[in-house]
Amino acid sequence: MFRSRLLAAILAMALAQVSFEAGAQGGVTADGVLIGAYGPITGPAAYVGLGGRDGMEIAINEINEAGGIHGRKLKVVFEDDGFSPTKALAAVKKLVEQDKVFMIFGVSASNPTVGTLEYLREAKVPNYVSIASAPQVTRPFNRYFFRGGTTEAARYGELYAEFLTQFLLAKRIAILSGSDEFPKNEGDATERLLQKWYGAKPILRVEFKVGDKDFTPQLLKIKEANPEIIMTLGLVTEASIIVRQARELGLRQPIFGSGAMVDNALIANAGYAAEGFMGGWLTPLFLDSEHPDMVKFRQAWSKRFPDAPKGRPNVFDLLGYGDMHVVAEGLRRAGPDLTREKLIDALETLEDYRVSEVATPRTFTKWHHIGNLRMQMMVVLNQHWVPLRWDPKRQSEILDDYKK
Amino acid sequence: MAYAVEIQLLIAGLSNGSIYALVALGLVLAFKGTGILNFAQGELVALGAYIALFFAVVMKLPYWQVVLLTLATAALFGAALERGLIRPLMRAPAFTIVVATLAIGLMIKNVLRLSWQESVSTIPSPFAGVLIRLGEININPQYLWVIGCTVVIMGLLVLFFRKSLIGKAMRAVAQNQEAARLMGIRVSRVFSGTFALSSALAALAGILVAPLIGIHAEMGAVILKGFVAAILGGFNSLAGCVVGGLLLGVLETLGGAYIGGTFKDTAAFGLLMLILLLRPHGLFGRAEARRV
Amino acid sequence: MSDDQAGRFRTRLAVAAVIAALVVVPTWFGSYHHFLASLALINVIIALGLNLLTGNAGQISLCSSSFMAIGAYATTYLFAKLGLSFWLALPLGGTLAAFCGFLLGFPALRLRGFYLAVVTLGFLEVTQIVIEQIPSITGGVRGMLAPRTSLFGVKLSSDLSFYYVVLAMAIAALWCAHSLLNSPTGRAFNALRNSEAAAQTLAVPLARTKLVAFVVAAFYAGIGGGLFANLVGFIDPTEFGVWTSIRHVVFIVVGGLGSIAGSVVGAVVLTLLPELLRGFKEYNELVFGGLLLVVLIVMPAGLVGLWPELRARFRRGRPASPRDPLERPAA
Repeated sequence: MFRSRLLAAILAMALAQVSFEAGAQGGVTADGVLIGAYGPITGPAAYVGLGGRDGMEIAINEINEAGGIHGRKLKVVFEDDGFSPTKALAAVKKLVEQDKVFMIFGVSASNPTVGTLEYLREAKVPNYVSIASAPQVTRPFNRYFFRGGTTEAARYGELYAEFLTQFLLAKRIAILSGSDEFPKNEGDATERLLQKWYGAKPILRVEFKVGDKDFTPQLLKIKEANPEIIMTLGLVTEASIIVRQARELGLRQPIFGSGAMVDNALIANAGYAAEGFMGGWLTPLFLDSEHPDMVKFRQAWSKRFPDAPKGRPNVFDLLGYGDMHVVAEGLRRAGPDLTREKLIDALETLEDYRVSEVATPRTFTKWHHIGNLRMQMMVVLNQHWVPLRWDPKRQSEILDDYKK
Repeated sequence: MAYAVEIQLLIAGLSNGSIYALVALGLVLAFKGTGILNFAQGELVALGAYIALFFAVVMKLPYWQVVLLTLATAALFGAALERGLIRPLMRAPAFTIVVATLAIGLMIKNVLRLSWQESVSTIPSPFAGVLIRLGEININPQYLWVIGCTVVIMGLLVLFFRKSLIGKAMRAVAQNQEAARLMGIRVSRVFSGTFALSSALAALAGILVAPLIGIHAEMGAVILKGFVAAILGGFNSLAGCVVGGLLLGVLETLGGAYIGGTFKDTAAFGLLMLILLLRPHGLFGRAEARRV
Repeated sequence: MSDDQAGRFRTRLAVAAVIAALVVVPTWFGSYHHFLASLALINVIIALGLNLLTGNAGQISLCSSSFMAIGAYATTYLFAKLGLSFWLALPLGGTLAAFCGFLLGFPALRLRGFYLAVVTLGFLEVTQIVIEQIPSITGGVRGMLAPRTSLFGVKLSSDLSFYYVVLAMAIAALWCAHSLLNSPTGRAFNALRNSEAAAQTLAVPLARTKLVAFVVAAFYAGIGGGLFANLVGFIDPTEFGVWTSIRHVVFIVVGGLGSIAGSVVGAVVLTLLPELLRGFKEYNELVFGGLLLVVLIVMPAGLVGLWPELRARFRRGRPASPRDPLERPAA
């Protein structure tokens, strides 16, 4: 009696397996698409993953309330990666094999993302990376990987080099960069592009460690070198201390910082020392803009998360939101008969697509998947972040490698 | 002006050192008073800073009220922590207690991370933001405030332990629990009081350092420096903690300026190893005679 | 059959059954589970070494992640960049880690307790800095890729095949640890932990024993690191920081200090637990901390403390045997 029940159970499981595979692509059913996402929601980078995840959720709600895509509602399974490449790989394996998701949406930092690439490459699962800027995602070109809101470190280098030398007309530049991976990449790229495009070299490059609380040694060296502008790359936690200490040590030069530093927390913490601080922001509108698109986003956000902790929504909410809409557009263009290959083909038809002014436009082609090349320069004026009217004039060269 | 930069570095170093001293004081007090090495001490610094943040930014109270209320809340939290989670662990083997306090610290850190998600925050201090200028020297008054507070607290603690009844009771319990109990001292109450004091010291460190480095959930990493300072001082006296802390702060800042920024942390360990080689029990430590 | 022989036969049968299960059962699962199982076994290897050092020989070490890092980077560099066979690179990486353990043993001769802990922390700092400052060898902060190795010409790209390799190594590590504990050196470890002064009166060579303990722990961690790098395929310095060392200490404390079974149980449970807690989303670390605390309060001697209690309760009529003070730690 027991044995026949056991046999029946095994048969049922086997059949379920078969029918699931035979029906449609993994993650796609008649009324739903299952998207797997991962990012840090615990650990020191939790605000990145939490922002990305919640931004995604707003977008998915909007899409589902409008009827879904070809009659299918979107559903996300989000896994924590704790900012560890090992845990990210475990998360992605679980999503692909256990949850059988249709595609992966990454809102994680660079190193954890790189840890998953080899596996996803072999599994041939579309992987849309919204936040990580590690070059390995798009270089060398891989059909299955897409890059969304952030751009490649090399592009940051191009933008910063042009902004510093052509807009600010600076010749003597000192760079103070964090020694961890993201600021190091940006710093190296900036140095390279300054040399390549303008024959300029920073007069000094000094590093600090993540978690450092005192930058006096580095700032003293910079003071001695007497630059026209100080460029600093790292997190806003460090930036607020750097800016304050720089003024205390008598440094009067303007300071330009990387994207992570464009944050209201900088003004709150450094106060008037932050006046004149410039930096690059990853979307066209700042979070407190009164532009109708941004107002609409903030309202949708507050409605969904009424008890938001201070500091949210942040830039990662915006990126997750904008990029999820990009993916949705891809799903739309892929048509009702949805497969992974068709999604990729559909994404490659996107040209300057964006859901609204809260996101930068995305363009993908058959030979490159670097979605965004833009950045909005901002400056602190009267204790507020104000956008600068500046667009790069020089054509980006990072796509040239792909054209060969 | 000659040596303008050196003077600024010295003041900054003394200020950093004072913070390390406060953390070390909290660690050593808890250890001597209850025998527990509290690895959550760093998170108690962060917790103190966040409590202050709440009173300052959400309740919009003036600085003095923020400080007093935060210290009181932290003390209550410390006592509750001791009563609820530490007491059941007191008979456990040493390693178990260490890992348990680590677990407590991890939980506190997670709660802080999730409840306040600004990348870095600050509390308005009447001393920050205004620069004192003496010739070429620029001094952030917050540095002086930190050093001043630490000196005053040191003095208060010395008085507390020498003159007050509770202080003397704590010293008695630290020396010999059984004898203290026989003398009629409520040892369990002293334990709670010790943890309350230790948490208040941690919270003070958090409040003082917030305008200088910002408040965020990773602040607890300062426990490492507090440890080094305590060990430098011999891990058994208040004076040792303060000397160890100040020494570490000054050497770190000066060493970083003249040797190199990225090697600042190795300066701390290098100094420690050097001192331990010459004086294996720290600067003020005593070699304990152990019964064999 | 005598009682003793019957007991030994039962133990051997149990061991054979467990090994058979470890070989067959994974085939019912997928690559995600094989990946986790390999991670757990790698942590078992590292925990075994650390427990010998800390649980048995009584020496505190907070740099197990550094030895792991040395093994990981050395093995990967020799294998991926210099083209050496992985099966040669792995023991070489372990040996380099063991050598560093040997060097670290010297300060240990003079220091004890948290003084020793801080010195090991200093070593951890130094390793981190070295990793970051020689990017040509280690990839620095950008990390290093480690392509999966092959065995007898067959690439171990399936996580299941890699798992079998790790399983074989873990069993070998277990057997070595068991033999070591039952040898004169193992007894010297225990003497060292109980009382250095007493050990000296019994002519236990203190210095040599401490050094051996450090070398063994470092070697185990180095091997674990080399396997880890090849399993995950990508390593960066953040994987080998102080929190990783602390996690290793938590493995052996929660499992049971000084006990081989404790190393195994602690490493397996605490590797799998965070994965099981995924459902708690952003609260998973908070819940993990809470569970850890509860376990430690309820079972301060570690999870293996449960086993004798349960066994005693299920043996009808036979009371739990009194603890022999000279008893060797449960293996």
